[in-house]
Amino acid sequence: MKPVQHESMRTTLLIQGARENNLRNITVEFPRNKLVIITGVSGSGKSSLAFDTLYAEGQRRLLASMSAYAKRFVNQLRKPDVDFVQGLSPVISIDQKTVGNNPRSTIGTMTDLWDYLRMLYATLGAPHCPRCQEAVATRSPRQMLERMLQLPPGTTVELRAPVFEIFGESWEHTFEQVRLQGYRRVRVDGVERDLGSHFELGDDEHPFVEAILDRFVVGPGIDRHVLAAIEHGSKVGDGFFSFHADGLSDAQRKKFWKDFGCAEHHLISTTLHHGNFTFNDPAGACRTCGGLGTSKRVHPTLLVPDPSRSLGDGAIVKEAFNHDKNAWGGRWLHSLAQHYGFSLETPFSELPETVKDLIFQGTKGEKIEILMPPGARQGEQHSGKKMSFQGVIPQIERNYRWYRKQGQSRDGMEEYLQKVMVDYDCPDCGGARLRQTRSLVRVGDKTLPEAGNLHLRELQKWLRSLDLSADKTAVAATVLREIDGRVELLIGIGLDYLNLNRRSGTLSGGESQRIRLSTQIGSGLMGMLYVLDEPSIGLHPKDNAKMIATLERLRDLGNTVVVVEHDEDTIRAADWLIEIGPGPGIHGGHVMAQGPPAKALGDPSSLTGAYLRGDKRIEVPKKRRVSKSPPLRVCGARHNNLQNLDVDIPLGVLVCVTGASGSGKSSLVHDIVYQKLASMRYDSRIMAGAHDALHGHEVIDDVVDIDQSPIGRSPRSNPATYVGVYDAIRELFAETDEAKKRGFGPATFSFNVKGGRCEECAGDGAIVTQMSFMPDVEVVCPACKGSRYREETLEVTWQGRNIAEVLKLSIEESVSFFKDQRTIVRKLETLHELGLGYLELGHAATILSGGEAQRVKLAAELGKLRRGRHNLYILDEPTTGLHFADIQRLLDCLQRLVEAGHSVLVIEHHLDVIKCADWVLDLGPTGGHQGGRLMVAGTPETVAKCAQSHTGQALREHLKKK
Amino acid sequence: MNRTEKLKRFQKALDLFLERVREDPNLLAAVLVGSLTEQTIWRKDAIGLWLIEKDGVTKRLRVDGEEPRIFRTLVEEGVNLHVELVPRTRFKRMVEGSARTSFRYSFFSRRTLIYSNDPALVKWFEEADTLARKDQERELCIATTWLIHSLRQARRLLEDEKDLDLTFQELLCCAHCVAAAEVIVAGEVHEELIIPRALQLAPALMEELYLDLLKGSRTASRLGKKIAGFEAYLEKHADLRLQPVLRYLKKEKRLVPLSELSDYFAHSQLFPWHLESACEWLETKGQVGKFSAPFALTKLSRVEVEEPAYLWQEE
Repeated sequence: MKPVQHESMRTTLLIQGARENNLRNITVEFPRNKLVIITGVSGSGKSSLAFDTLYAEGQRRLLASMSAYAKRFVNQLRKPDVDFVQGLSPVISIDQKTVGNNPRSTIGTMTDLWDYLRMLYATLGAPHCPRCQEAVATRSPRQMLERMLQLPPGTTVELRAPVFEIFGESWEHTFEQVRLQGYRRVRVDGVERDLGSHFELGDDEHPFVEAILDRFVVGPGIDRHVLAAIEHGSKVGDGFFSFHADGLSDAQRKKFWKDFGCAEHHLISTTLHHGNFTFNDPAGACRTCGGLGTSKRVHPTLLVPDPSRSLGDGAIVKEAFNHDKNAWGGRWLHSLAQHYGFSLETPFSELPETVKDLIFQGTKGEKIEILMPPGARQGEQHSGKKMSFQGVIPQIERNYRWYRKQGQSRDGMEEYLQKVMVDYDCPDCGGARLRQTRSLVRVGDKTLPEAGNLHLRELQKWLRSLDLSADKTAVAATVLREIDGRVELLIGIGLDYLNLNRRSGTLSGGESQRIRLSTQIGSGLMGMLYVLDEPSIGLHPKDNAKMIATLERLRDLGNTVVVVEHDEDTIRAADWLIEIGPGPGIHGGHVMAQGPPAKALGDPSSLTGAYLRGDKRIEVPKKRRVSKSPPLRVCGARHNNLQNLDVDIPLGVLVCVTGASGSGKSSLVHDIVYQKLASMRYDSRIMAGAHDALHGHEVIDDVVDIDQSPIGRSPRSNPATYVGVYDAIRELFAETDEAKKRGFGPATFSFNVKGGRCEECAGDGAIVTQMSFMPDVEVVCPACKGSRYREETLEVTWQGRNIAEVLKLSIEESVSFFKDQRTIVRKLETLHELGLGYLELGHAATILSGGEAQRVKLAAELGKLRRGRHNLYILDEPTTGLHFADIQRLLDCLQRLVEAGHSVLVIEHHLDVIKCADWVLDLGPTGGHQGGRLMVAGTPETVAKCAQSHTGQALREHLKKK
Repeated sequence: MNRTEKLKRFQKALDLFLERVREDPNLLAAVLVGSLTEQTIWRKDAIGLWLIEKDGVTKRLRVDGEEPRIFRTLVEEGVNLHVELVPRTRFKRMVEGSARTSFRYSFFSRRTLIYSNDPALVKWFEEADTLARKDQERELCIATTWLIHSLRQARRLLEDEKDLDLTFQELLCCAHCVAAAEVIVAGEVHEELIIPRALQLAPALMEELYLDLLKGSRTASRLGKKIAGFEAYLEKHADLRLQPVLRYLKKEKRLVPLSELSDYFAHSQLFPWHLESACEWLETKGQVGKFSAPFALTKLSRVEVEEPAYLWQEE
């Protein structure tokens, strides 16, 4: 019998015959447990290889290993177009998706650190008496019972719980809540009262109120009653109780209270549970904001989005105040106008302040006669009656409070409340999200919300400095170790400026990716395959080394780390480099070079190598432009961490804002400059960040934010629709004789509406069949064969091609095809010049890369350029996902905008962009509370000379190198 | 079997049953629902009891489903016992929160603690026996709104339909509402048969509004006079008895939509139709103004209909 042959363990990962998207049947093999970088120009197929092939196959195989039963509960994945992948490990992708906008998600919850902190507070926390702030003991219900049973048999004991006031509510409401929980008797400053009877307490009275939960006569058999009463009563006093025994001698009383609750008020806390400290649970959440940390109030400017309209013309948002003459709003407007003598035809902005105040805040008790507006069909029964007008704002805020109490958050009401209200810190918890009684629990000298506000480095310092008694150290050691380890990782990855209370939605894509990366390292797994998408995004060059060290650490734990990256330092740090190219789209999809960086970069076919070797370079402009107009001046910028900055932003030039992560770049550029300009020009509902004034904006006609967000979330959106040539193309088809004869209009040539599209697939070109626990199957539509149109529509041709064939043309081809159509060709040429000639006109927006989407947006802007206009273009890290060659194209495009008389303001870390700017504003020195100051402003050469500026140091080296 | 014998038989059955209860340490107290007297025994087929059990010892059967209340039918000496088993904590919550739950109806019927081995329960029971003033007001308000409703109906039946029999029927309902109100005003909890008790508490009034109604012929003028008599009663007492609604409107000093008013009285057994009746009556008396307020019928409705809204008239 032949001995069993064991194949030796595979040391490489082999991808054979990858054909996903534009990949050209390529084969790639790279060593496992190494740091592998995949690079190449935008659209060359890097992500197709890393995510759509490697990650997708890993995921698919993992899911395929599940039982048919389990498969019913997960979405099955399609098999990527690849022959095979060998040497796969469980794969985890850490992409750049930001963490959504769930207001309940914070850095604490995202990193699980909040859970550990909750655990720490539940085990180590010392509750303090709500009356005298003295530390009180915690006792479990059973310990309380045992103490009670030590009393002489026959003693009557009353169990009480403190009743805390509810912010913004009357005592009547508070007592209703107590009664609803099943308790009828309370003690108000020691006097027993029956909630079934009337007794008044003013809102300005703040007595000490206790609910009487139960009474017991000490004796055998009361165990269950006491435990049940404590369990049921813990909600009333948020875990605080007091016991009151009748007929005890002084000695007995003293003995009973010894180490049992606050010495003066006899309040004791039940043992704490980590659930008490979560703001996602009603037991821990602030009762006013429900754990969101914010509350809303009406902002008058939001109520009147267009002040040039008159009240009679619906100046006020209709959902808030319906001005229709048959609605109450219309009746009130007419009655108020008649009574106070103002016109409903005057633009709102021209109305006197007294009238505006009347509309917003009401008649303040004054009763006026209700009059029917001319032509009103309804409401006659109210005519002549007298009543006071409440005002639009109090009415909305009352509705808001009512809706919050009802817990209805997903209806139309909420939608309109969002329109007219702004968030501010919850007045009850001050943004801490937890109910105030939870802040009575401290570890050391800090409450949980205070700990959550500490920057990570301070948090680590505080936790290490905790002076704990020996028994507590033993309990908390594990929790503290976990917290310390995770905080250390976050600090190590350059995120020391963050605090745990910060909302996840305010993180940049790069920051959230790095947080997830640190969580993975914290998991300590080995033998995994990690696929990352540009982790260096948003990182200042000074933090790049930390990032690389983190990737190496992940690798050294015994994992394979595959990174799609353009950053030079990261590429040089790789163990293995794969370059996909040579060009984008149909010009790409080949392996240009692979091997250790030294070898791969030396490959003459490697474009990356050419840039890194210095054969190709992004040239420093020969001359810096000088602004000829007065600058845009931001005065007293205080938003987030900005330190009351006064900044001049030159106009008519390319300005680059730099600084370490968290230094306040986005706060200045996006939250103040963009939001302020946008609110003045387009939408008064946009609220700019805190600042005193913005001067010099009069010369700017439009402000345009060009980010890397997708140009559309539907596959029906494409470059042709986005830049607006599709309408013109449909017009062309509708103008043909054949179309006219058949009565086809431009809409017939749209795949979005019924008429000319294939109804079998509703214009999708494919039909998706759901297969329960098998992956969804997408098949080409049998009716239209993927053309998306009906046969009759396709019979109409223009210059020999039907509409489906036109959509299949690449932009490059369509430039010559439409050469006589000036409006179409001008826009297409711009796309082509920006290096997007390889894209098909009908290329689905959902599969455009971030860089491609950004360039499509830029092309749309360039296509719209008009003489004599002055626009301010704002770009936040436009080099994300761009190869050196793409950066050159982007810079050309930005320079074109400036040459055309516009201003460009770019937030950027990429030194090649910074060196090409006309003016640089460097914020710093570091992130968080140590940032927010202007370090230096001037040309790149001036910045390079600034010794205090981290950007200056990096730029100095970079300019020297080149 | 005459009443005395029946009473003896029931009493014996109860005593024997309580002997067994006393031996079970898991049972803390027994409460007799209703009363066992020569006056009431004629209509009894079974004895109604609440048995208060210790917390955490509840035995559930499939038939109980998710229902928190557990009913068992037992038998002792051939007499059936309808027993509701209530855990101690739940019982306390029912008693303390009595006026705010559907439990009110059974709790406000007559009941007696006939056995307890938990001294704390005895004190509770005594305290719960007092009808709190606020709860009393709400009870009165409910009885008054029913009276308003029945009176309106009676007048319509008489004047529009000219149906004397149905008018008479409706006036009997009015008499029950008045009887209920009189029992509550006297600070008592009422049993199923409230008319006899009201006859004892307010004999002259009940003579005029109830007995006289039964005695005479059903003519239009006579029934019209009776309606006027009930209206006069209502006129005399409504201000005071509709206080919970008036007090809230006074406090708000603004237009309050009916939905908001109903929301305020949620859990109190004052339902929207009670409140509507109360407000409509107050409007006819000029105490509140009737207006309307926009109301969206569905969560997503953009089209608004209108609902009644009321405003307290200061003068």
